[in-house]
Order: sequence, then structure tokens, then C-alpha cells
Amino acid sequence: MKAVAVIEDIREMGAHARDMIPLLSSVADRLTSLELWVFYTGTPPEAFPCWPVPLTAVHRMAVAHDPVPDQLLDLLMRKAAAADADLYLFAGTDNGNCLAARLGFRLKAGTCLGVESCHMTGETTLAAVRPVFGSRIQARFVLDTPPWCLSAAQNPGRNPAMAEPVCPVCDHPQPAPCRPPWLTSTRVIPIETDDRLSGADRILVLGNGVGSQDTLERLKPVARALGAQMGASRPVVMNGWLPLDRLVGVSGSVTAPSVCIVAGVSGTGVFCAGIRHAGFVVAVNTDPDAPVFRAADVGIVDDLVPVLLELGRLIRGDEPA
Amino acid sequence: MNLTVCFKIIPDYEMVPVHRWEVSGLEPLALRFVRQAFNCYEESALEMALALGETGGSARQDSGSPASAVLGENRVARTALTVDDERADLFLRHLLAVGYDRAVRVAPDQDLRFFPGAVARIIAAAVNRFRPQDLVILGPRGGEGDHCQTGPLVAELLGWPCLMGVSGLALTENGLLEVRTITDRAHRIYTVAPPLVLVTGHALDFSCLRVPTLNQKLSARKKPVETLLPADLGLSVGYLAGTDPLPAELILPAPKQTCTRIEGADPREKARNLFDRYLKSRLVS
Repeated sequence: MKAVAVIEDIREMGAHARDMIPLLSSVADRLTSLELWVFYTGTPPEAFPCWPVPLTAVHRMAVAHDPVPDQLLDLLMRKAAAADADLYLFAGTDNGNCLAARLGFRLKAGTCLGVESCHMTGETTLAAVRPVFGSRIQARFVLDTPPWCLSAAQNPGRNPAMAEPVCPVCDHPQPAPCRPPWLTSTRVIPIETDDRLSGADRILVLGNGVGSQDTLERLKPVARALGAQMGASRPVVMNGWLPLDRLVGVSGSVTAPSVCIVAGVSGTGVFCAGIRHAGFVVAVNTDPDAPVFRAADVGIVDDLVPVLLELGRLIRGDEPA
Repeated sequence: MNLTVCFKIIPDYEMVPVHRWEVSGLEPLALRFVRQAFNCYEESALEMALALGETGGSARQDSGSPASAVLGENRVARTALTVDDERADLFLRHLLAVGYDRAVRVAPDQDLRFFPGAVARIIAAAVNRFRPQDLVILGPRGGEGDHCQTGPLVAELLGWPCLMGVSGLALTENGLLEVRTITDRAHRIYTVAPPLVLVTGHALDFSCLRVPTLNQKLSARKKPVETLLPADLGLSVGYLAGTDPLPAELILPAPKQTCTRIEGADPREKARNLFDRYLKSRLVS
């Protein structure tokens, strides 16, 4: 089987490879070829992630700064027509999903996005498992006859090592796709962010039960005492109490801390998917029936504020108030 | 500016206690009688479309006058479209009340929860029927199937470009559209010429759909919810064939384990028990 891993955002190459590696590992024994297609801006990349099977080729494709998916699709389609691969694998980001769905449509491929695991079920059939019903349930899809276009669900953990490839590195001979006529201008305003949440060893996640930004600010010292990164459920981010890079869940960060304290979070399916890989989970909620307790090792049914403030005091070793 | 916002109502999963989830074939039994709600991303899309071109919005909201009462040349005509059964009519009436000019439901003759390609074909056919249209706005994961494919597929079928992760929209003076997207690393502001398919992301400024006044509700009762069949859009009964792989099975994930409840006389004692019995050793290592 011939597979292609597509990196559409060079800045996220390590994280995207990390997400794709479990899927490639599960079909590694069937792979006869694995190519890496990388879109990049500026200086061509020289080092690439290490994969579960050796790369057979790296294709570097220069593109305009911050391209939209439409700028990549035609180039991708031309490459796919020549490559005739069985499996095209993308990251499960917005743009990765967009490219996978649209390339799948054009190739008449079996397409499945946000895939958590996959395996071959026959010579030419692939089973892919991904969440449905708000991540409360998983579904197993059987994709007949290649080609297949998949995007990978987030996989927490460390990024793979980077190394200079021993396989051929090909540069796409065509000039970078220019701006499409419908796109007059693009302005990019970077957000100061870091990767500390997805790689954190301890996190304190606050949900809507925190009630207000003032209360949230009072609890920041508790996170510091814990040595934990602050995370948030979607309502907290939508209220603007914490920035978007603090979002935990399917549409934010999927985390794998050794200790995870989740307070004031009801525990939707899409949220719990973001703490599923945590080592030890503590849930604090006033509702004894909150679904979050099903994802926790231990739970406290009570108001999160006095619980967390007392916890912070105990960790710091302060005298009781 | 003519735009169509596509939405899907879904069961309110949070109403179902975790232990009530069970699977029979391709149907989670617990969801049959659960309250329906707007998908949160599409709720953002619906509100974002209402805010587009508003001069301030207060006059429209108070009087119940049509949504199209906006800036002269920047008149925005809004259509709400769903592919669903009659349960969606209540939601379409809500949308007529808050300012949508037209509410359309395409009633499929099959369960399409796992057919994003078929839903995209219906949406594309409907948008072609509604022409001229400048924008189609959808959520990233509309229905119960969480496919994340419908928006990009609609773009392919219409031959339009597609932008993902949309957090805001504005009309420009020269008839173009300013589209804002957000990721955790950057805001991007695109100036674009329609037609275009937009897929919403975390739209922080449009988290909730507005609530209609009594006057708006009464006014909306006179407006029709249009119902179409796929055949009305020129789609034959074979329009599903070969479009999407069906799930072979649904799998109910096992809970992590039994959660141990930490007891205590008050929150402080519970925190102390948590610290002493479970956290102290873990935080030292």
C-alpha cells in the first residue's frame, strides 16, 4: 500500500506528524511506500519527523505566505493524480479537514475525518474509528477499495524526533500558486501563545461553574501552587475569561497530564475527549450526576471555589485562615 | 448580499445521563426522546449572519420588521436552510422571528445522519435553486455524525472557495466581504469577493442566537416555513448512492473506571482528604 502524509502547515509539522503516526503505525505492515508532502513558505525545510516506517520520498512544495486551502488544492490534486497513492493522510485541523474532504471528493475516495484508529480489514478494505454523537459514541466505518483520504484526531504526547531524511527530497518544479482572484488581501495578526497546555504534566481545567472572570482570577494562584497549566472548557473561552489556546477538548487541546483537576465542568463528550489520556483525574462539581465524574478517578461534590482555595493553601503549606 | 445559513438541530446530549447511553444498531436509544437544540457552531453561524450589515440592529429587533432592513446597497437577505424532519419547524420559526427572511426545510425520505455527501448535494441543489446567492455559511460538525465534511463538500459541489474557522464577518464599502478567522495562533482577516462557502469556528462574539420578542414571534407566525423534497430540487431517489460509507457499528466507550467520591464535613475537609490521600504523593514526584 502506498501512503502519503500531507503537512499543510510547516509550523505545525511535528504536532501534525505526532497525530498521524498512530494511524500509520497500525497499517505499517501493509505499507510499501510512505511519502511526505510538505507545503512550506520561505526557506525549504531540511529536517523532517521520524515516522514508524522509513520515508521513501519527501516532496517540498513552496506556497504563498499563509495560503488558504483553495491555493493548495489544485497543486495537491495534480500531485495525487501522478502519485496514485492508496492512502492520503492529513492533520485533523480545520484546513487539514477541508483539504482531506475536498481531495477525497475529487479523487472519489473513501473519506473519514478525525480518525482515532484504523486498521486493514482485508486486502483492499480499511476500517476507521472516529467519534460521533458529540464524542459520546465511536463509530467504525469500513472504507471499500482505495484511495482513502483520512484526517487524524489529535494525539497527545511528545512530537516525534526530527532528522534529515535519507530518502530522496524532491522540490516541486512549479512556481508557488498565486493568490486566487476572489481573495483580495490577507492580514495575519499572530496571537502570543505556547504549547504548554498540550504537553503539560499537570493541568487545572475550569468550566462554566467558575461563574465569573473575577473568581477565575482568584484561582490562578492555585494553578501556580500546583505547578499546573490552566485549561478551560468551551463556555469559559466563549465568555472570554481565558484565551482560545487554553481550550481543552476535541476542538482545542487533547492533553495527557499526569495530574488533571477539572472543576466546574459538566463533562461533555467533546470535552472529556480532551482529558481521556490523563493519568489521574480529579473532578469537582456541585452536580453529583455530572458526566465528568465518569471520566474521573476521584471526585468531590461541592463548590469548587472553597475546595480549590483550600487545596492551594495545603500545597503551599500556609497556615489555615 | 444574499446568504444561506445551513443548520442542523441535534439532541441535547447533556440531558442524557451517561449511564443511559446504549447502542442498538446505528441508533443510540437514549436519544429518541431527548430535547433538540441548535448545534452550537451553527447557532454562531446563524447569529453571525444576522449581525452582518446591521446598522445597530435595535430597530429591527424591536419592531419585528424584516431582516433585510439594513444599509441600502448592503441589504442582506438571509435564508435559513435545514435538511430535517418536521421537528426543525419550531427552530425555523424562531429564525423567522429573529430576522431571517426565508426559512426552508428539505425533508429527506431517508435518515441522512451518516450521509454528509448526500446532505451536501441537497444543500448545493437548494442554493442553486435560491440563486443568486453570495454566501453559504455552515458549522464545522453539523449533525449527529460529526463528519466535518459538509461545508467543504458544498464548496466542491458549487465550485466555490471555502474558508474554515470563521469567527466574524463584515461588509466593506466596495461590496467585498471581510472574513475573520481564528485559531489559537492567529487572527486572519481575509478580504474576499463572493461567492464563498464559510465554515464557522470559535466565534467568540456570536456565541448565542438572539431571542425574539413577543411582537417578533407573532409576526413570524404569518410567515411560511417552506418545505421541499429532494425531488423538488432535481435530486432522484438514487442521490445517496455511493456518496458516503455507512458506519459498520457504533461503539459505546467504557467509562474510565469507578470514580471514588471524597467525603468530608465541608469543602475544606474534602480538599484536605483529597490532598492527603491522593495528591500529596503525586505532586511530590
